[in-house]
Amino acid sequence: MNFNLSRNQFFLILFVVQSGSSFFSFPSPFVNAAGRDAWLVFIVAGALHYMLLLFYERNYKNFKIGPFVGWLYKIYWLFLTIVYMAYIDYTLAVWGFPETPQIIVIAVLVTVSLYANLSRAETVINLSVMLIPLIFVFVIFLQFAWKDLVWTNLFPFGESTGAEWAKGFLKAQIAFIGSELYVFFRKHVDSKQKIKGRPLFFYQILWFTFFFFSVLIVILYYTPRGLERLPEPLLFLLKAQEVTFVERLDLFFLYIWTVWTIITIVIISFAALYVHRLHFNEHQKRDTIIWHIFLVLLPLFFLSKGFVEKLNDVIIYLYLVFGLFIPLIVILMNRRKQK
Amino acid sequence: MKKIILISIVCSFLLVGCWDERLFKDITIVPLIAYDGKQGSWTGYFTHAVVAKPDSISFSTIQGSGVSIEDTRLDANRKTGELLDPSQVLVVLLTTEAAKTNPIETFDIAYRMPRTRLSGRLVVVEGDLAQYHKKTENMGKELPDYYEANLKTAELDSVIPDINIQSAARLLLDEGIDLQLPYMKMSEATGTPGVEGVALFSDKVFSGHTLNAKESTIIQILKKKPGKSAMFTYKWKKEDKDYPVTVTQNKVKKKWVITGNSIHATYKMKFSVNEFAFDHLDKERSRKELEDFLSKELTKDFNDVVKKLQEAKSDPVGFGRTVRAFHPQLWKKGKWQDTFAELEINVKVEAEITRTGILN
Repeated sequence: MNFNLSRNQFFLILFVVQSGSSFFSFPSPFVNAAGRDAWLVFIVAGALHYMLLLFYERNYKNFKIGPFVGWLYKIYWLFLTIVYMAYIDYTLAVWGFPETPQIIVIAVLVTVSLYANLSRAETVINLSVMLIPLIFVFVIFLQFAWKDLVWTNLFPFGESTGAEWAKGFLKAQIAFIGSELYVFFRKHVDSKQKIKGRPLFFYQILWFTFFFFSVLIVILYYTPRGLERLPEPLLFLLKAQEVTFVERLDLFFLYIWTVWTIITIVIISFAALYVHRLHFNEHQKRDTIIWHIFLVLLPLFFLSKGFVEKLNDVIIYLYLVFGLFIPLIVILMNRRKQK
Repeated sequence: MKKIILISIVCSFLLVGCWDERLFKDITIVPLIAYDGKQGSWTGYFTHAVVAKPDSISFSTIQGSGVSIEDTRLDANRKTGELLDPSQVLVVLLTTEAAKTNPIETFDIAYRMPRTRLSGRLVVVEGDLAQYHKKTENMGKELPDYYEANLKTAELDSVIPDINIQSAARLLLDEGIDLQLPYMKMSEATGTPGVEGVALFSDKVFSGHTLNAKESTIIQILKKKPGKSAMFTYKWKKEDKDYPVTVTQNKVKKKWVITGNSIHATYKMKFSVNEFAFDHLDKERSRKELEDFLSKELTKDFNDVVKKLQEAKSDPVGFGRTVRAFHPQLWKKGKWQDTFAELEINVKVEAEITRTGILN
């Protein structure tokens, strides 16, 4: 598959995949695990994220995979999309569509991905652009909670224990998921456009600000005991806001989140099919359809609260394997081969 | 192929949601609810809209009982031809007995079900609930609108805080601050319910202590969250004559100094004069005299209110939030409500007249 990305397209894809499904679900498990110092933990985690990006940037040319590693990534991404699909469908059922058959909702979401992935690569790449205004709208509406924020909630700091810091780091990985696409798509970025240095730092700042803002607003709005009860604190916060033009602001943003997740699934599916075509270039249409049949059917087995919680926990560990460990091994092996 | 997929996507979007439609012909909106009872034994009064003829909506109240507040609705449902839908609730009345249960547990359904409007208000009322459901001519409005308007006015006048179902939960889950809810009573003169002040909560349940309108206004200023206007009226004695003086608070700055077991709170308040028949406010001396008078009276009233809070073991001001953040030794002494009740708290008000109206 041959396609070219501009620098902005590359960063946008990365940002959408990293924030796509996790943005609403990230603050609660992270802050609950890290304790009152969660905002400090995230600053340190943010620094680690930048180091990871620098590592990817320095070594992406050495990230060349064979069919076996390719299959591992395809299975990982299939798992990831199933988790995302199950989670968004469960959330939609709980918040908005309790009576609608879940297979209908999943089928509708997956059809968008099928359409995009049967089209040219540009369709997938440019789909993310439609999210840019929605992200701004989302951030603006969160400001409605400004008068309810309690700044003393940030203090006292230094209270989290070593175990809480460790758990916090682990949960912070939710915000890292998707960064592995860097090593796959980096080589498709226009070689005339510079990534190293300031552009990469700018992306890091953007990613950090976005997630740090979500952590901060959740800490300032909720007490630790209140947060323990809420799996989607930002959605609950939006539900509590009273506006004149819509009865339920949370539903409005739930739809935005759904679109966000669909586009994330489109991109991850695109990445999986891209890796598949590196080694198996025949029957492209058939394979795309099979992939999407999996996406419709498999999430149906995991639509309960228990599964959603467990799967969301598992993907953190899988990310450590596929975002950190495997790229490290592949890069080191290829570097040794070159020597 | 692509065209078929595109058409299916567009058509399927039209389908989603069909299963979840709720038609007004099947449900009836309940804007006013009242609860009485205790854990395990509840009575609910649901005031719902009745459309007898087009363009005419009246309200009727139906009663239900059960082991939880949701159970009372299900019981009441069986007595109506439509499904009672409390998702648009504006006001929830609680008797003083009902308020002695933890609202987080009692109203679990309100927080758990996504359809509930969290901007509805919780109110504690005194006496029998039945009298709060009678519409009188003095009201001039339908019952739910009357309560909503009455509470809104009290909020604008800084008598009650801006608290809804959601913010009540946030305060109940915060160990550093206690909840205060609007407190209503039936007026003997007019036979209509009116806002009396606030009901003080201590560690998640109603403490049994209430404050009157003036004391409640002081709480909102101590919190530094007054409504649109906060007014105080005092009698000023001069040359053997009483002159009523009414001032509106314009700005307030607070400073809390917490040392050991004591809190020294200073409030610098700027006022504009609404009523002062003695006049002569163009003279520095008269202004100073009035400022000293207001500072003295307000300091006394503020300290009296703080003492009442300590007696009720209730901290709706949120001293505990600052103590938790910056004074861990004091915070860790024990349950905050007990520590708060034992503290030595001194409030000093420094009043300044900055506006005198269009007269001197």
